[in-house]
Amino acid sequence: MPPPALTDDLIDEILLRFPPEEPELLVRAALACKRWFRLISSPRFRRRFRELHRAAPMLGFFCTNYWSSSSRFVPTSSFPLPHAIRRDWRAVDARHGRVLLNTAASWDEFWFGCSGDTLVVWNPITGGQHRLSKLPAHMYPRPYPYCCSWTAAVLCAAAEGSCDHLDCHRGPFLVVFVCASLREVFASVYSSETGSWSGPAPAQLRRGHVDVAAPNVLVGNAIHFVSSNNSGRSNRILKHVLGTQEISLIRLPRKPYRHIALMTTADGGLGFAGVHESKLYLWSRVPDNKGYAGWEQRQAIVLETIGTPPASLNIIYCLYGIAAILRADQQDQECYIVNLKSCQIRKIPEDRATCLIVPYMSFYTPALGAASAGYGPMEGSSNA
Amino acid sequence: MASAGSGDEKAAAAAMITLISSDNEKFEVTEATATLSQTIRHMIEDGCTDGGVPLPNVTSKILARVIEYCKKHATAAAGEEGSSSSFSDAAFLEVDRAFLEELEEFDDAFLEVDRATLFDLILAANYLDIKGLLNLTCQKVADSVKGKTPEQIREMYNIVNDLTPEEEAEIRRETQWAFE
Repeated sequence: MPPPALTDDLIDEILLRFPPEEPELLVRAALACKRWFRLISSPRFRRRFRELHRAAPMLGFFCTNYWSSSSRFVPTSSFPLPHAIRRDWRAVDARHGRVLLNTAASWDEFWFGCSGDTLVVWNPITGGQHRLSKLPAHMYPRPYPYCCSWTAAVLCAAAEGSCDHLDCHRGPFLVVFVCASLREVFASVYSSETGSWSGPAPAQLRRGHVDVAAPNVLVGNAIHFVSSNNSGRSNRILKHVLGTQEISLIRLPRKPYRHIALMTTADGGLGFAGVHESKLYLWSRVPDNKGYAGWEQRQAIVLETIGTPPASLNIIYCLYGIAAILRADQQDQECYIVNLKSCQIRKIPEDRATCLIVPYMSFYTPALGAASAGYGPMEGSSNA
Repeated sequence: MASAGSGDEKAAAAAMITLISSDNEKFEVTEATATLSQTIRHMIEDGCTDGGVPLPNVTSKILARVIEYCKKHATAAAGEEGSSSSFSDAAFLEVDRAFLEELEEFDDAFLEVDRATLFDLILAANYLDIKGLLNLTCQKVADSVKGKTPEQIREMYNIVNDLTPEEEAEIRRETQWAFE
């Protein structure tokens, strides 16, 4: 018996429930008939799809190793990026559908002394690129570029609360750039709308270092970066408030972690992960009973579930509730992945070793551009 | 088929609603069960349920299934309300978890129907405005398309392909990655 006919709205209700992390399913369904094709390619459907699923799925992540000249994209969905990452492109950060790249040709130029104009904001879905302008010379901390370190974050330019970031990847963006030298740390913000750098806003921090490989997180209206001392030990969190550009410092709990990786917790709050003596610790920022913010240890994971991991493991990246990537300090630079649900630890194949991980989250609903151009809205002409 | 509930439903027994299917079969349900449907809830609020609620778009076969769903989920909703006062009680949470698992098992078994029935349930859920049932049934159809080629999707849902070979070739060319 043929199934009863459904209205366009009900076919939409079905198609909306396709998993966002498997965009090819929607493409295949669009080929069923003109009516399904028309429904799936409509802007209304794309908007509703994003509204229903809310959180953009992770399509994959960019990995970069110290000496490699470009990042590798490792897909975690069946979706390959329509625009491939190029040689000399190294991903630094990604947020709200955009990827921040450093296109410096040499590895030392990548890790130290970024001058701004090697930075490109790239949209892997549309292929769009926007090269940033050079930082004004007076902004460089002396003795630039020696003994300098930098890091940067990309984000949608809409102020907190005024954008749901579900479909803003074509809109204006900001890049928050932090540069640290022996004497001072400062931040400057690039706006795609004005094409210029603001600031600089000084941080009340002497002898700080920042690390482009250390993940930054957006919590509320502030970007958080890790800063470290001269011996490379993570010791503070730099909180850069968007809008006011005010920089404040957040102390870490007195624990013997050499490196920490910032993360957002399940409720969107600030958290970090650190490793000490074969244990992975997860912390989150919580208000104490006097109203001050403090740290609370949430989880301690024993890493010896299979074999003995190297003694000097450092955290590279942590995705709360999903996985953490660890890297050994020694020459062999082994990497491990810890599944935070099962607490299992697994070695990553040597040729996949990485020290900088940038996950890419985005919706991909097929625009089916050229092919759909001739259709426009039309009455249902098939039976579903 | 859908008679007044057991002893523990005595309090609710006072408020019974009669639902009348398109083939004129009558179903007595509690108000708590019936009001999972926003359509019926509005009718109750407007005071137009005396003499029964005619549902000309729903057959007795489908209405019986819908009522079965609503009964189970109305109990779940009542359970949730009851537990909110002792939310921190670990034992209570344990009971809740067991109940949610049971509800999931019920939903899985409920969806073991042929495609025509599934589509009829979607139409009924939409007409009666039962959000949970619409979500459940639409998700089931969406899941069934997983891993299927366009040809298989057409076959499953009796869809006539009216794309010209040129159009189909062009879309495939644009979205080649989806077919690799």
